[in-house]
Amino acid sequence: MTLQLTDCTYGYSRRNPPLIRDLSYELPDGLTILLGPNGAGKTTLLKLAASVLTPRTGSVKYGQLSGFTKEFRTKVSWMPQTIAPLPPLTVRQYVAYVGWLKGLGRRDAWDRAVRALDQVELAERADEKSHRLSGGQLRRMGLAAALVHDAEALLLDEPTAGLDPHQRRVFRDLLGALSPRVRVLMSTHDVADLAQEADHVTVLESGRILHSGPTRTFLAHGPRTTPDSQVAEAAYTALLTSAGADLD
Amino acid sequence: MTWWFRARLGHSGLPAGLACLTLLALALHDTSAILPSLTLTSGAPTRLVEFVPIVATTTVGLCLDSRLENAEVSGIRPVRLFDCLLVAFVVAVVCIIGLGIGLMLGSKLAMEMGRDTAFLVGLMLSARTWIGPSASMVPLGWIAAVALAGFRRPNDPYFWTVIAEPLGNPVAALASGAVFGVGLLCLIYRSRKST
Repeated sequence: MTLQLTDCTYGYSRRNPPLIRDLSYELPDGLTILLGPNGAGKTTLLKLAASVLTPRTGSVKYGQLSGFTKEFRTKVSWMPQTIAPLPPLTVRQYVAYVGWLKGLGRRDAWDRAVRALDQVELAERADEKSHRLSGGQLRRMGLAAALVHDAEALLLDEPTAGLDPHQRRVFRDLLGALSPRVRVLMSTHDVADLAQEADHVTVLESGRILHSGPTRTFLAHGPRTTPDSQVAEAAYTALLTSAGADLD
Repeated sequence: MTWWFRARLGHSGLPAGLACLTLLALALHDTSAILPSLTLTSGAPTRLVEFVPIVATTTVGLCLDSRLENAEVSGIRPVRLFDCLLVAFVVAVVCIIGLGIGLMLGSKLAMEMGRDTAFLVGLMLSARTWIGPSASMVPLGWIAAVALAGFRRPNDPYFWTVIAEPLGNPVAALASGAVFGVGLLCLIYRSRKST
């Protein structure tokens, strides 16, 4: 059972051409990273997959479950690009509230919130007000909120932006631990760091998928002479160039 | 649900807003002022208690804006329905406050407060569908419009003003109920497009 988008078209305004047109995509096993230039439609794709946006045409399903069903929403978790704090809530309450919104019972959500905060190394700040966290800590809180209800598919919108190198390491280890049992789709601009750790790479440009496949086939797009440390970036650039994308 | 209530400032902003409204209603229940008017050369005689529902509409706006939009949109709990109950609760409390002050001090104007609050909250909730949080300014704009252009003669308001009509006016009561109902429907069926 996996997450599938079939012939999805979506635009933010009916006056303009759709940002995503007739896009079909199936989320593979393990960790998939979603690459693409700014404005390519990565966030829109993730929002459609999370059933936060409704496509004009086409469908979003998890197995046989439609995106509008409660079952879909409990199996799919989404971490948005911007994590806004909620001043009345502490960090633990914030995470537990998201768990409750996703269908967990009150006590269960409360207990799991600590475990999720522990996973992102934020347990020691659990009782602080959420608006007192730094930008990087907010992202970790957002990630904990995405993890709290043990979803089967995790959609992460630039989760590593603003994290320090140690936290990036923690985050990558966490993804490594999750990815055998959870399907993860993560958008990022951090090509060099993550491409070689991902099982699959999807490249989006102007609302269409340029590449979707195992990491090794993605890396093969780079010139053979490229040093190992730069091969992911080179492959990404080569893909975009071959598609005539504006790299500026 | 406790966290939802806390997220909506149910333990802090909401009681503070209602306390503030009560104090203002007590202070202004029978006070009038002459405001500038486009239709009356002598100015519009405006009961200051008409401004008191602004506290309620602002409080409701603040409570509804204190939310985790993304998580609530992708969650499975009927949060919009809870929001409607919260709004209805606030309006009911304002009605009770107005009635209490009215009976205690013999002021019909204070009793109108509940009806006016229902109307202005409904107006704000409807406007939120299109203009988002800025809709909190709409009730203030309505009151200003009533003062500026809502009177034929002193103490003779046009029917559309609603809040300037006397307590027993059935059209105003009906309009308040209808606008409040539309506001609640807008709150429930707001587009699922996320911010």
